[in-house]
Amino acid sequence: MGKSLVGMVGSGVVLGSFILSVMAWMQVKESGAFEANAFTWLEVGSLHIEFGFLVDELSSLMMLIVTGIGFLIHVYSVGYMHDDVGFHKFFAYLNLFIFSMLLLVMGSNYLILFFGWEGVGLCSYLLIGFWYKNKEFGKAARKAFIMNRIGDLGLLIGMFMLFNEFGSLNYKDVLGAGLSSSYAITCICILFFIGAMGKSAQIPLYTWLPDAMAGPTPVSALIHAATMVTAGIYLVARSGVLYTASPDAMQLVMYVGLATATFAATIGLKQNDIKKVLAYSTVSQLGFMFVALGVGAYTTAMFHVTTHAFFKALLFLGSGSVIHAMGGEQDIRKMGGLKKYLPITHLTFLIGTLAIAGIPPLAGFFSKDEILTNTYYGGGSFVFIMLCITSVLTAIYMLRLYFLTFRGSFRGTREQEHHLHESPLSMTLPLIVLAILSVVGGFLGVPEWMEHKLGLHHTLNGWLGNVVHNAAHPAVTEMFEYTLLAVSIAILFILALAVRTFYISRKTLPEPDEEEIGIVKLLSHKYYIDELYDAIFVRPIQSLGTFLHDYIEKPVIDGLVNGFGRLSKSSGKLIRLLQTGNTEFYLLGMVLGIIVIFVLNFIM
Amino acid sequence: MKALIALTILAVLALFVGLLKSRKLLLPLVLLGLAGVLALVMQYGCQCEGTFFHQYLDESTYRNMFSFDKFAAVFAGMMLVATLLISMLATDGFIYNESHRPELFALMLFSLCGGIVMVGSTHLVMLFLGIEILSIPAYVLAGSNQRDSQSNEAALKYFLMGAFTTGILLFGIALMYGGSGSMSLDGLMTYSRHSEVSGMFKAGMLMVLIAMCFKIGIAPFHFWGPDVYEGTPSIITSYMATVVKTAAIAATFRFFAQIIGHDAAWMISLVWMAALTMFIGNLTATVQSGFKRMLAYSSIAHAGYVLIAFFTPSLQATQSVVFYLAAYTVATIACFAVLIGVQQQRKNDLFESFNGLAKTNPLAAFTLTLALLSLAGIPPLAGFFAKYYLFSNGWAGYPWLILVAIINSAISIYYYFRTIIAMWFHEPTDEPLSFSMLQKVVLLLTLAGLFTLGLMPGLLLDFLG
Amino acid sequence: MCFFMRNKFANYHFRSTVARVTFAARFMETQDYLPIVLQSMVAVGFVGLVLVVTHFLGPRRKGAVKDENFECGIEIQGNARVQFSVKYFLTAILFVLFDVEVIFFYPYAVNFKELGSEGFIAVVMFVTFFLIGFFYVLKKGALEWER
Repeated sequence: MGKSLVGMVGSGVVLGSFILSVMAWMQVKESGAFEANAFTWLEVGSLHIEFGFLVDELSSLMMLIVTGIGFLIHVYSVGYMHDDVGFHKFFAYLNLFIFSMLLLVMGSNYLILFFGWEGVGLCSYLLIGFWYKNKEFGKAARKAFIMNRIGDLGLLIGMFMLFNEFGSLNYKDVLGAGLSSSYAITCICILFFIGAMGKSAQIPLYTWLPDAMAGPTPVSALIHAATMVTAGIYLVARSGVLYTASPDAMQLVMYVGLATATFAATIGLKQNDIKKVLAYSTVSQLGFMFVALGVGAYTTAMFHVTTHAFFKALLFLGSGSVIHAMGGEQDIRKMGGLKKYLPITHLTFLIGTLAIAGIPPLAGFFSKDEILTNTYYGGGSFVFIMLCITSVLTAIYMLRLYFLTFRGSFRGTREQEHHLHESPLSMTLPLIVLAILSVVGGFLGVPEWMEHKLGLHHTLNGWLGNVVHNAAHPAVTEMFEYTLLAVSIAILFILALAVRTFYISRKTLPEPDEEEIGIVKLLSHKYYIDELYDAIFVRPIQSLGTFLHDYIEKPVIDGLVNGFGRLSKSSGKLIRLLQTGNTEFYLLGMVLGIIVIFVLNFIM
Repeated sequence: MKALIALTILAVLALFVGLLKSRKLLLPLVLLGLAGVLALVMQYGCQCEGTFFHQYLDESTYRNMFSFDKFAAVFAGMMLVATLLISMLATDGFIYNESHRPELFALMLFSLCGGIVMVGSTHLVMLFLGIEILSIPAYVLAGSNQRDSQSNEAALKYFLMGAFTTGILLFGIALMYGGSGSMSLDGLMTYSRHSEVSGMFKAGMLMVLIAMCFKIGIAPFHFWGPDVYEGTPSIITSYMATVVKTAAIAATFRFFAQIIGHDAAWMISLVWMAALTMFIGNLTATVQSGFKRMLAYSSIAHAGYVLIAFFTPSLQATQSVVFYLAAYTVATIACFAVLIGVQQQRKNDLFESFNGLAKTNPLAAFTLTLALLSLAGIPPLAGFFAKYYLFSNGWAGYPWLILVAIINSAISIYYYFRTIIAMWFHEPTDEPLSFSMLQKVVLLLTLAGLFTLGLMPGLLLDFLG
Repeated sequence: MCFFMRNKFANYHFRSTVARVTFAARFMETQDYLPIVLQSMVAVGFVGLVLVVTHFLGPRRKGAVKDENFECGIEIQGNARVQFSVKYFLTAILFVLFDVEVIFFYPYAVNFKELGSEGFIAVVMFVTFFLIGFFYVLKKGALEWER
């Protein structure tokens, strides 16, 4: 098949599923959630697994995000991957990913979710290592896969415990039952959260996500920003009933989320790779979502998932457009002044930056504002302040990224400058659509105090209310909100000026890698976490492996296995002698058998 | 019953097509006919509700002699699918006896009729008739390659030993009738459960059981198996290893699981036979150098596994037998599909002939690998779930037998992997094989079957439940 | 052993009248078969006797010419165990097949009226099957001698 046909088929089927998702969404809106069981998948003892799907408000929201953004990114990929030899393969993987992701969000029980969970993990692995000829990329893919496996193990054990506790894995049976908090539920929640940690890149299992940027940029946008990494959020939100019954687990979720958000944001300050900045930003934003989950604001978390999907996909695709124009260069120290060469990319990227930084009335403002409000009431002042600081950090690293990339003067080679060009329509069109969504997306969840003024409603709260709802908190005073609004705008404005002055007017550049000192070096090396993991986990395990191989496997296990093999082979040789080929002998054998049977039955 | 009549007419038609000048009609006729009969059976089977046995659709059960209930429908469907797949291989499979192709088809179909009679029989006379209708064409088919002395030898051996067991079977039936005064399944069950069983009945029962064990290939009555399987032309072997075996196991299960299962005394000799069969099948398979003979021993071993279900008769046990045989049939046909290609083009079936197949014929190698893995019981393929159901159900009966079965499954991995290793890790020594379109279709279908049964066992079990 | 037997019989005779009756009945049954046994013995004995006696009664002369196979006075040719055409066998087996068909007609003929139309249909079907077979055999050329 020709490339254009592949692109058309690849994108077309996703568009088809988007249309179907819209139809499903309308049906849910019309007549509520519905379940469909394709067939009984497994029936073993008391374990009864239907291959069934549940489409309710939560899953239809996820379906819309997955297929909608998925479609845009497919279209984008047609342009972005056009010259790649693995074009066909790429679309096959991408479609497989959409399939798995839909399975994940549509399943009506935890096993189907797990099935999709593993499927997206596999696709992520395949796509990170898409350019497998580069050894480093292959390693990054493996790292992602292994770290996810650790999380998956948690999820799996959690599922076992869940089955043990409830005797079923169906959402209907588990989440419908009236729950009282118990030790087992706390364990299940924590185990599920471990699964979520792996998939959604939370401390301590986050280091794979920045490395996952080895994959093609559309992959980073779709899988590692907009959809797959939010599977953890989906899991926790889906199991919201369980978490509500376990305050301890929620505390854990909140603190891990907070730590991740802050930690990743500080690292993001000093990264010089355009995609790495966005990756740490993603980790940090996922942390925000977990904080929201941790304080019981499930709808808010889903709201942030939605807006984040819009603007982070936009930012990634924008960075892809930049990388495309720069001929594969990803270091922002070698960019600058791209505004005039890439006008559409620049404008949309700016919108994305402002959205994530939280400028009203863009999407990020509403969702982040809601998270902060809920944290203020649900998480205590420490968490609230830390989260506010992290929000400021978010703004700083995003503005830094923006200014270094698009403003000032070009710092690359002459040749690169010559080649700078705006990307083709198939790439800019998704950018524009996503930019529009990033602008208006926030109105899905208008805060309470604004509802009357704008005559709008918090659509999402009403929508998801049937599945999960936020923990109640006292009504927010208008004063508080206005203060928050004013302060945040003021801070952002000051920040923008400061960053601009620092990087553009004074032309300060991030120092080359070898000249970094002190805290800068620490941040730029990501707190040496990778090295730490390597020393604590990887090397000891490897040496243990070597030890086991040399002293246990070879002499003991191999000896046993080979001995067993020799035994069966030699006995086989003996028994073989019975098969003489002589019919009389066979008949004799049969008669002897008959005699023995009769003796056994009548005389014994 | 309609299906049975249609099948008979189909066989006769196949004969008459042979009289025509053009034989191009033959294969389409057989395939379409089998598909039609299969549709009839499926439609009939879907109408049956509730449990397996004695769920008669209409009042007439042919004077208590034959009942086409769900049990019969499921097994008949399975045998029809197997025959359908084998017929698709027949273009290449029957190449050794081109002039008698229509007769070979007709014989196979007649034999299949016997198989269906067997699985539906509820009367010892019908059982006997079914066995004979199944076996006599099979004897002829075994010797259908007249110019090959091995084929002749196989036919003669099969016939001689088959005749011997027919005698035992008839004698057993007579004694059972003498003891209980009845030959219908209902009567036998009533007798064996409600009154003191006479020695005559017991002896008769054992003899019938022994005869059935011969047909299934249970040690020590398995001796004919390897020799006959090896000598018989491969396509016929595939028929014998799947359809004949399925019919024999199903009929035995229908008759004996319900009677034996309620009396430990019946079981004990059968339990030992099951263990013996597994060991003999698997251990001897490890030392074979030919793929076909290895498959023959492995099919003996699989029959040993299936016996496990006999000791804990229940709906679940029946389901596990169905599932096991379905998985076994699909995998075996896949093996033979590749074997037929290898044998024809390499002139032997040594493991070396499979060297490097993964490079030269990836589809065949992949299918064969999965089929062997499935036979070995590796998840997520059909064979794994089949073994899992069988063993987990059987645990309630004789736990030590399950342990024996598990040990044997481990042994079996060794010889299944020999071919896999030859295909994937050895360099090709010969030209690539060429597979016809139909053979490739069979490979793809079996591949799909292995995955479908493995990933969605519910599909089949739903139908059974 | 003998003592044991006697003891057993004693039981039959004196312990229980029921047993005595049963024993008597059994004895009677055995007695009923006595004539048959006697007749069989006479028959077998007579045949055996005649076979043996004729050997001794008749005169015997031996000679090479006399021991030769005699076949209507024609000179013998070759071995009696020769391969012959499978057509002999085919014809013979087909004859047996259709012969058996005829045998089935006898019981039907006897019960012709009682079986009525249902029986008629059954027999017509039976004959049809055979005719189909016959037709196949004809078409296959099994009855053509020269081919």
